[in-house]
Amino acid sequence: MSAILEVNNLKIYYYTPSGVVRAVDGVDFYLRRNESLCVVGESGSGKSTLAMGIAGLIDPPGRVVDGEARFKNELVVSKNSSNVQKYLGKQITLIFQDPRSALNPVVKIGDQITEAIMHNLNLDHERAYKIAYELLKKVEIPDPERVLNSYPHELSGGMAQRVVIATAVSTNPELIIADEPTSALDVTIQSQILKLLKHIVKSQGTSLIFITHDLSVALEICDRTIIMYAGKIVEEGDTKEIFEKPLHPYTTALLSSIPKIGFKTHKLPNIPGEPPQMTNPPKGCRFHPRCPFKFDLCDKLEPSLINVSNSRRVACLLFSSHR
Amino acid sequence: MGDPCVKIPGLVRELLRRRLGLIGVSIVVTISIISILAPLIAPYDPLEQRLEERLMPPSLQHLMGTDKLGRDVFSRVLYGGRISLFIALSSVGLAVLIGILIGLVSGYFGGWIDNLFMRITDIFLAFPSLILALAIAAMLKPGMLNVIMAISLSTWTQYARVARAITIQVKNEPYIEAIVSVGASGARILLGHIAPMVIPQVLIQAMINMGGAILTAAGLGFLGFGVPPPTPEWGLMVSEGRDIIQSHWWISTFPGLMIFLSVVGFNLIGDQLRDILDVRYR
Amino acid sequence: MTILNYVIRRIFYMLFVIWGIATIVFFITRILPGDPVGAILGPQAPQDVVDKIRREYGFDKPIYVQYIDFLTKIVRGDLGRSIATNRPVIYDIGERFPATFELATSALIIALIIGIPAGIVSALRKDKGIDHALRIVSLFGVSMPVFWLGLMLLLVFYYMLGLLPGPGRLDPYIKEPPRITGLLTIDSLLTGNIDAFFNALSHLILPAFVLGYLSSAYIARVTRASILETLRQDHVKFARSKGLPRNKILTRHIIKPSLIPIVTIIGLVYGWLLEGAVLTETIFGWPGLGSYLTRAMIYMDYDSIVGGVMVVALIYSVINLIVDILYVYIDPRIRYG
Repeated sequence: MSAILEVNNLKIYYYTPSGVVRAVDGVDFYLRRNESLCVVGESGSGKSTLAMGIAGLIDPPGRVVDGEARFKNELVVSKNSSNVQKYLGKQITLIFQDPRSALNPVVKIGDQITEAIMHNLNLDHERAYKIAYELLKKVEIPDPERVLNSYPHELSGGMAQRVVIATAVSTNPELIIADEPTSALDVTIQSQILKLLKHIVKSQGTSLIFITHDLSVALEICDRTIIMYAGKIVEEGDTKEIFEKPLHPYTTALLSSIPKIGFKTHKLPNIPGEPPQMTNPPKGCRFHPRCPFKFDLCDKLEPSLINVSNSRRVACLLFSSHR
Repeated sequence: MGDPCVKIPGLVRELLRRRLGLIGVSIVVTISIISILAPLIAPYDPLEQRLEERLMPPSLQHLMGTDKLGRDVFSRVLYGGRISLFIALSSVGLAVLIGILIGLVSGYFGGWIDNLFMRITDIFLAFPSLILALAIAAMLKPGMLNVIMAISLSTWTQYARVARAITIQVKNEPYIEAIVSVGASGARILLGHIAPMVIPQVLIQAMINMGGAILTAAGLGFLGFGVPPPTPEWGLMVSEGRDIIQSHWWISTFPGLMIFLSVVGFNLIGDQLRDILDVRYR
Repeated sequence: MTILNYVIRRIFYMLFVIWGIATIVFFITRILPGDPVGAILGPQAPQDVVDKIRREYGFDKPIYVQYIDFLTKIVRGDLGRSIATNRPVIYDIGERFPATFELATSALIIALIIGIPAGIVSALRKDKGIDHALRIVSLFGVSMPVFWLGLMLLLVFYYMLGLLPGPGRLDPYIKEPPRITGLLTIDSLLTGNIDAFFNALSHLILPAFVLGYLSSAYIARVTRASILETLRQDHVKFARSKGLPRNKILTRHIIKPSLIPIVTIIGLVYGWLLEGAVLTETIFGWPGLGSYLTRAMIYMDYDSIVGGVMVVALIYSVINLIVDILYVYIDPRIRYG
């Protein structure tokens, strides 16, 4: 198995005046080449922090407290070191949630793309400009010349995100980390962008980590999915399998809260209870206060991720021998 | 602009929670108390001239020395606090009043009234405020009331702006439409609903600007357009010692120091208030 | 709207504001209680002299006629005649303006050189030792009375230590360079008078520093706030994710977007420098616009006051105009918005 990214027991905490936020609290997973992995969770689950952590973009008061991340077997993120910078922009690139704020409002689009190309591929401005032009065509922007000469506020959300994607793809990276790239877009545009991203990723053979709060989006774009809750992974496996047969109660709840068109919906079921306080998460299994299947051990023992099959892992006491 | 609803008690609590806010409040409270208690603390009458003791350097009898007319500088500084703080407070108060009135009316009625007031505001804003205050004060006879008027006329515009912005924002809230449809009169809406939103915000703005008001008042006093002598006003006292500064440094130094300290206190508070409000609107 | 459109509208707006100021100034001087001529000449003056002066200055005409006269004169550039110097106000102001300009510009240069880097460093090293130190220095800067600081520095550096020269622009024994620009430093350089140059420069140091330090405090604070605001934006993270080098990120992605509020404050600061000039010129014996205005106000020299105030208002308005136009260049969102 050629894993392009391995994450072991990664812990990223934020030291705030109101307490220590254990945003990512011991996460392990791996990502293969050419594979698309989704990280799904509510806001506050730690999914964005995980993405930023792998990219080495965690700023104080947050820091990596324990664990490591390895890219192509090289240690890039750990408590004491951060080597990922040398890959950023070249083999590892990022796509952000709100394209309008990810782009510098006072610099032309063309310059923002070419600066990345010039720096990372060591080319002069003319060649970089030509490549930028081609890239914009590849992301299906109809008038690349005009867009290259525009400023970010002149573009629609969808166009802006295409520009961001073009930038992320410009150096033919091996790994793209996309942090909720469609959440800030209109629903109609969302699926267009998703399709585009999927197509690009598959055709270039790029590995993808895709962060989202929407399981149905995960189904569309990802081979494998990780479900995160309160800083921990609660379920992991093949996306279709998880969708058809969820194991963790949280996953089940997530799935049932997706409105399905064509089905009679009586009420939109909400997951009862509040998201956990990340400065003081619940003891034992962090989901237990909201879990319909909770039993007496759940608030005492923290479940670890165990292999239920060779492609599935769950962190729930229902599936362990403690039952 | 964010939520116009601001809770004053919570704000004060937050202010005191921060170290710098606490320091600022302590300084301001201390100076205020000293000023209020001046008649009890001051060892001498600030106007009393003892010509045989003139121009004496600081000593145990005269903590801050004596001035040209033998008046005790320390006592004058203490009483000066009352004068300077009173002027600053009143001028800010008056400016706030004018500003709120104009802002409320302008924002609520809109149309040509709004236009008119906004143009007037722009014209006032086209002046550095000290120069405007100076021009007004110079035209009027010297006196406490005139100084206060001069300063407030040069600073009301910012409060009008804030008041107007909030008025417009609140006016467009759906619940105001609801009240109007039930037949509430304009005055009632203005006073009962909009004013409570406007006043705290403007007061906070005023607090942030208190330091500047003290500096402007002192500046006017220094130039001779503030309260007339022999009233002890800090700015005036600095200018009184100006021409003999090289040999009698204490006459100008101490009053100026007091201006500096009080402004630091108010500015600390103002800075913290700004930080707190900033965080809220994120 | 196009840039040209915007500029034209802005200029008209400025003219309107200046008209408004002229009107307000006029009414302040004419409407307020007190007989101006009596105040100028004193109670001893014989009645016929008073009447003559009154006719000369047009105080005997009805208000609206005076107003029209006033406006037409201003448009022609005739700001009246100073009672104190008995010369046209325009002439007096023209003579004194370069001194203030030299002072204000030197102060602004100092303020920018100190203030902007201080603000940037403070923002980038937020909450560390250097940030706290710089913020305290800034706080002192905006809290100090300008006239007091000037006086204190004069006391220490001139009277006590004798390191820097005292009041005035030039020592009396130095030959003053011929008047080309009115700026002593430039003029002495242009005529090769090195002694005068260094002497003028040394006289400039204290007042320029006083004004410069105080304005740098404002600039540093605004710069810090603006940069912190920019750092919060995602585009900085995106730039980092592109693997760009630190200095590129700093200049293009941090500083450039932060420039807008900084440019505004520079406009405000220049206006403030005019105010500060009023307070410092008296202390440093600087024969500029500020001390002229102060003296005019003390002696109720009406035409001088009006002329001086109008000129100050004009300068301030022009600066604001320049700032607004600069805005359009710095912020592309305004250009097309």
